[in-house]
Formats: sequence, structure tokens, C-alpha cells
Amino acid sequence: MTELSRHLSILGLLALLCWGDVLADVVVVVDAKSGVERLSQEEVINIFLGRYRKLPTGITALPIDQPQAGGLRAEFYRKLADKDVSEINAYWARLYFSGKTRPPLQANSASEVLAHVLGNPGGVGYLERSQADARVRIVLSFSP
Amino acid sequence: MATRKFSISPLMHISTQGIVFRSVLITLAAFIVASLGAIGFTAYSTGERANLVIETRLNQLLDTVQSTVKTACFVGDHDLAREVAQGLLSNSEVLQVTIMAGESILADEFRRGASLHAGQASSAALTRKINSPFVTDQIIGEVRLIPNPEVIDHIRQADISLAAKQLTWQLALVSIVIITALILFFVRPISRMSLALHKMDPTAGERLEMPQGHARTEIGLLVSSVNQLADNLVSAIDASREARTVAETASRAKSAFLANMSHEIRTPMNGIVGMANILRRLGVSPEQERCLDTLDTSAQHLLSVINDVLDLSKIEAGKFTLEEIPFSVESLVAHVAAILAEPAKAKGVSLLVELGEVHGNLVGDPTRLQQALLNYVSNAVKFTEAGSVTLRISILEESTESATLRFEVEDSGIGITPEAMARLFCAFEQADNSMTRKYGGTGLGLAITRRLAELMGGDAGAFSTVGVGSTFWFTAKLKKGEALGVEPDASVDVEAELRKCHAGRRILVVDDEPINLEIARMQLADVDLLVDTAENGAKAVALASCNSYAAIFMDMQMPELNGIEATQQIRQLPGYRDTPIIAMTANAFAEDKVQCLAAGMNDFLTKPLYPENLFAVLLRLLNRPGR
Repeated sequence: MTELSRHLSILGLLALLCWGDVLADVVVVVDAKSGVERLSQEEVINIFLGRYRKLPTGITALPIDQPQAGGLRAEFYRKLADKDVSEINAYWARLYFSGKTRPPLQANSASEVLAHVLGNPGGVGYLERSQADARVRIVLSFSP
Repeated sequence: MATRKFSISPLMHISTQGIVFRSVLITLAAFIVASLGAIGFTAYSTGERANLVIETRLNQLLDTVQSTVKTACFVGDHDLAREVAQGLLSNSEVLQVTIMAGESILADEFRRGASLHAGQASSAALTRKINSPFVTDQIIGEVRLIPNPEVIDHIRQADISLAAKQLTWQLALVSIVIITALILFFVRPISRMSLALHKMDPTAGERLEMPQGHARTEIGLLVSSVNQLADNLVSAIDASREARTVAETASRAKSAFLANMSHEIRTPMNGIVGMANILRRLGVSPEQERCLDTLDTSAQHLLSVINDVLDLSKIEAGKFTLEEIPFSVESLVAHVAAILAEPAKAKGVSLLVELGEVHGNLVGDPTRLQQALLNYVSNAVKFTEAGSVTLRISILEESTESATLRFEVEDSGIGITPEAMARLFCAFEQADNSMTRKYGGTGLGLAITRRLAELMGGDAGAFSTVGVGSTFWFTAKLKKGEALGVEPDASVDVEAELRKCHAGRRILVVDDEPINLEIARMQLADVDLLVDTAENGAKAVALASCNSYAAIFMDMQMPELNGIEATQQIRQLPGYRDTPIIAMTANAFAEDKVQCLAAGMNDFLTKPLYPENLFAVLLRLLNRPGR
């Protein structure tokens, strides 16, 4: 693992040099049994930012965010919509008072995200690629 | 001259007719036209500007709400969209806000109380496409803002009023500049020049001063031209003065010639008339009497010609002065009628007098009035073969001080053609040259009558029908006078009176012409007076100093010592202070008479001497009160 971690740290260093805050390889996942094969970037934007929360199968999508503290959430929105966390927060703040559209659920840990995806029929989440196991299906990944 | 004090401020020269006023008027008119154009253009362009201002403002508003609108459109949030729309409406520039997400209307808010004119609004509407907040190229909706036309109007009006204000100030400034410039460069130098010109005496060599700094301007040119004109004027005046001197010299020569002629003719005339009279007194046969009558008539005619020529030349030279003595119109007319009664009767023409309401005494020159009237009446008698001559006198105007009289002489004579009428009153003209041969006359009578009437403040004229007769008239303005004193009693026999009271008294007659001396001696001896004679003034003075004379007849032009000087010396002799000295001269000009009286003479007789005149004057002077 030390070999890997060393590689990773080099990679991370490279990524840091090349991408700034790119820390990890984020992927969007659903329950492998949900029947959803792929989601486009636009579909993911619609689901996570509250425009259209239906999966291609017709099931209502239930998105969940990674914890605020981790770098993953920022990484995700950066990759998805080229937005800062602050911008995303501001966005939700505008919608907060009208109350019609809610932000995705807020997970307290990465494992809670995984649990939400596996536990709900329309669950959609994002993980670091390494955390995505066989129970989930990667429906969108961001090419470097 | 140009440096004279100007008490009047130059601004006072802005009269309603002045250059400054007119220029300002034209400037104002031009400016008003230009201003109307400018305001019109401003109104047009300011509309564009107002639209631009509104558009910019609306764009700014849209910029501030853009991300919220994006959000609302992205999620299709009606409430949020409405909230944004209402926020936009809180700006007065916005009339209506429509927010669309795709095909669906999220919000459509409209300002309350504003009226929307569809065409106007849609033309100025601002539409902005709304992109997805997350996918840059994706258009997810649009916002449509309709600006408030009231605000646009407000901006336009503000712009127009600003433009108008600017124009007003410009106008005021330009006017002030123009007025100042005009006054400085135009009005002041011109009015100074005009004032200087007013006081300039070009004949004294004065010229206009060149206004400072105007040497090359139009005003300088004007000044030069005026000075040039003054030069020309002065030389013209000099030339005319010279011409006048020449003319005056010529006129004096003419007068002197006339006086000389008059004198030269009167002297021999005195001989003719005097001798005829003496002959008549000596007793003649009837045939000789007729010859003497003819001689008398011829002499009278010759004398009247001389008198006419002399009168006319005096009138034309302006040397004619009228006497102002009280007289009666009745006796004047009666006298004229009496003079012509005989010739009229001889021709079988009746002479009628119509003396209207005219009476009382007037002040004027009866001798000249009589002369004027006689000219008419004698003409009328002359040119009338049968019928009548009517002498008519009427009053045209009357006031307390004066009366204008009209004298009219109507005849039933041959009449005058209109062509001849035109030339009638001109000197040396008769109706026809053949007239002179048939009727005689100098042709000066009518001219003299007209001149006399003019001198008396009136006029003269005539109207006539050929073959029916003519009417000649003249008017004269005469002063009213007090009642006449006792008129000389014509009934007194002067000769008898002289014989009775003064027979044997000694008279001195002074003349260088022996014929004249002889005539005077004979005439005076006829009334039993003793006569001494002297051929010149010096001898007269010598005789007067040895003898005592009751009266002296004195010729004027004599060798050695003339009449004037002799009189002055005789007056110095003891006992001669009041002795009657009577001038006896062929000089018939009024100034001669004045000169004689000034030298101390008592009266003035014109040659040729008629015994009746001579005796009348002598009797009057000898019988003077106080002697």
C-alpha cells in the first residue's frame, strides 16, 4: 500500500500542480440494481441542482451530497458545473425561502452516501472512484 | 472736436430705430429660428438618448438580478421569479416584467397605475436570454422588461429644458457680445462722428478727426469721404462766393446805369415840360394850345415808361419799399375814377364803380395801390371800344388788425386768348406785339401790378373770354388804421395862397443846369416870389451867408459842392436851422430821398418839376406851424 500511497501522493502532487484543487477522481454512482446504465452530465446537473429529479427509468431521483468538510464535494461541483462550493451554497440559499426545491440530502460521511445509494431506489451519489465497489454502478465519470 | 465730452451714455443710443436695436432684432430672429431647429433636433435626438439611458439602466437592473433569475428559471421557481419581478418593478424605469422558463411563464408583473400603450412599449422592450447557471451555452429562459414611457418622457423633457436653457444663455451671451461690439466698433464712433459733423464748420477749415483704430475700417472710409466732401463743399462755396461778388458787381453796375439813365433823361425832360408849362402861361392860341397838349401827353408817356422801368428794376432788385401811411379806399378809388373818367368818356365807354362794403381807413401805400389799380383800369379803357368798365372792390378776409381787399376790373373789351393769358403778367410781354403799335404801353404795367400785389401780401390774375371781355384782379393785405387826419384841402388855390401870403419873399434855387434854373425862376416868379440862382453848392453857401432866404431849392448832383454837402454847410449858417430846403433832383431812387432827408433837407421833388407840385410843397413848408 505504501507503493500505492506513494504513487498516489505523486499523482496527487501532479494533480495539484496541474489542476489546482483536483484532489481525487470523482464518479457518480447509482445502485447497480436500479437499471440505470448511464447518466449524462446534464442529467446529473439537473438532479443535483434541483431542475429535474427523475431517473431515465422514471423513478424519482434522490441525490445526496458528500460532507461539507471533505474536499470531495467541492471537487464534484467543480467537475460537474465548474462552480465553487460558495457559489453552490449561494445558489441554494436563493431557493431556500421559496421552499419548492430542496438541495440534495447532506451525508455526514462517505459511507452514509454509499448507504443512501444502496438503500433507496432513486438514490444517486458521488464517490471517489476507489470507493465505488461492485454494489454500485458508475453512471458518470469526469474525464481528466 | 471728436474729443468733445459725451454726456450721453452710448447705451442711450439704442433707439428703436438704431443700428444696435435692429441688429439685436435680427440676431434674435435668427437665434429663435436656430433655437427652434435645435430644440426640434434635441427633441428627436433626446428620444434616442432617453431610450439608450433607459436601456442601460434596465440592463444594469438585469445584471443585478441575473443570477437569481437564472436560478429561478433553472428550477422553474414561480415564487422566486415573481419576487425578482416585483423587485425590478420597484424601479420607476420598469413598467412590466415577464420571466419565462422555456415556454412557461414564471412571472408576469405589471406596474400598477401605469397605462401601457402596446406599440410604444413593445418597441422599447428589452429582452435578455437567460443561460443555465451551470451549463454556459444552454438557454433556459428569458426576461422581458418593458420600460416606463413616463420616465422616458421625463428624461426627454429634462433634456429639452436643459437644451433650451443652454440656448437661452447662449442667446443672452451672444446678444451682449453683439451689442457691445456694435456699440464699441460702430455706434459710438458713428455717433461721435455725427456729433462732430454737426458742430463742424468746414469753411473754417475744420475736418472730422479719424476715430482711433478706424483708419482702415468702413467708418474710417466714411470719415475720409466726409472730409473729402467738406473740401469740395468749401471750394464750391468759394466759387459761388466769387460768382456772387461778380453778380453783385454787375447788379450794382446795372443799378448805377439805370440811375444814370433816369437822371440823364429827367434833366432834358424837365426842360421840355417846364418850357411847355411856361409857354402855356404866357398865353397861346388854341392851335398852339393843342400842340402843347400833345407835347405834354408825349412827355407824360415817356415819363411813365421811365418810371415803370425804374419801378420794375427796383422791385426785382428787392430794393422796393412800401410806405405805410393811413389812407381811405374810397378816395383812392374816386381818384382813379376821376383820372380815367375823361378818356373813358371820350371813347363812349361807361366807367362804373362798385365799392361793396369797403369803408374806413387802412394803412398802406396808396400811391402804389393807385398805380396798380390804374394799370388795370387804364388797360381796360384802352382795350374796350364800347360797353363798360367796372371797378369792383370787395373784402376777402377781415380781422381786427387787417383786411384783405380784392380789386377787380371787368371790361367788355376784346378779351384775351388762353395762350396770351399765360404770358400776360410777365415783364415785357403784351398779348401780341402788334398791340404795342396799336395801343402803346411798355408791357410792364401788369408785371408791376402783380409784383406790387405780391409785395402787399396778395396776388394778381385775370380771366377772360375772347370777344366778351376780361376781368383783372389783384388782392392786397392792408393793416387797419386810425381815422385820417384832415386831408389836404384840394379846393385851396395854391397859387393864389402863395401870392397872398408870401409875395415878395426871396427864394434861392441851386442847379448846375441853366435850363432848370430858368424854369424854376420863371415858375416861382409867376407867383410873385423873388428868385436868386446859384450854379453850384459853393456859390449857394456864399449867397446864403450874405442874404436871408425864405426857402432853398437844391439840386443834388453839382460840380464843386454837391447838394448834400451844401445843405449841411447852409444848416450851420446862422438863421438857417429851420429854413425849408427842398431837394430837386433827377435821382428818383428811394435811397436818394433817404440821403437828402438825412442831410437835413425838408422835402424831395423829382424832376421834371410840375408847377402844381412845386407850389404845393413850397406852400406847405412856408406855412409850417412854428414858423
